[in-house]
Amino acid sequence: MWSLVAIGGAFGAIVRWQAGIWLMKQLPIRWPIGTFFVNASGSFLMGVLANLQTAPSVWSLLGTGFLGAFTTFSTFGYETVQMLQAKEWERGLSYVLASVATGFVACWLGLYI
Amino acid sequence: MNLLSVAVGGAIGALGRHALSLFLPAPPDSLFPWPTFAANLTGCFIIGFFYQMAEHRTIPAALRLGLATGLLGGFTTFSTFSLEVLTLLNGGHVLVGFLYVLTSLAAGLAACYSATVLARKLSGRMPNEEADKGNRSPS
Repeated sequence: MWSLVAIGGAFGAIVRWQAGIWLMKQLPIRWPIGTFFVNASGSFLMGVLANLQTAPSVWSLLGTGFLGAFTTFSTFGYETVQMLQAKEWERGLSYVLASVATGFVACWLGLYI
Repeated sequence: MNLLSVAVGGAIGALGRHALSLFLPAPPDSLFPWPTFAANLTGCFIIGFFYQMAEHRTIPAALRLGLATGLLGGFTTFSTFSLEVLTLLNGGHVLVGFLYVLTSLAAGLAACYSATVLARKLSGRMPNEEADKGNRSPS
């Protein structure tokens, strides 16, 4: 189980890193689109995976490992704090609300699709 | 090198989160998802401290990517957080679900902010000196 979590975590982090770089190039806006996208899509896939009720080994690899590491809360928190420290209240608040709401709706869709 | 450090960091981060979910002592019968809460809270604190410390220093890209993008990104999670909230709401534990969302956000942001303040103080700078410097979006 531990090795599956590690392998999934390694790939999840790499895909998040590369997806973030790619998305920032496609949409160069002043909004953390990379983190937003991985957290939304990762929450959706987490719902799908939970709905499939997979074997514990698959859950370790894809749920705890890959999707757990593909999404991130620390970068989300840091990005928000940066906006608030720059007194960009609306951007910060909209980022938090959009991330949380989209994450829940996406996960819910994944669970019931 | 950068790819390797993100991979190793991500693996260690995910293992740490897994270990917390297995070994973190939680009150018996507690519905609150303590392990994810603890991982996200500490991850927010450390990333705030690290990025602030890195602000005025030259940190090798491999170290920055390995620790922040890899390890802390892998240690903290948003997908599990979303799933746990929905599981609580689906189970009728609406109050615990809302409490989990609010405390995760408030404590995570407060931890990250205090870590940047602490790092600035340790760097010998005044807390608000760099506040309006603008945005950098690390991913």
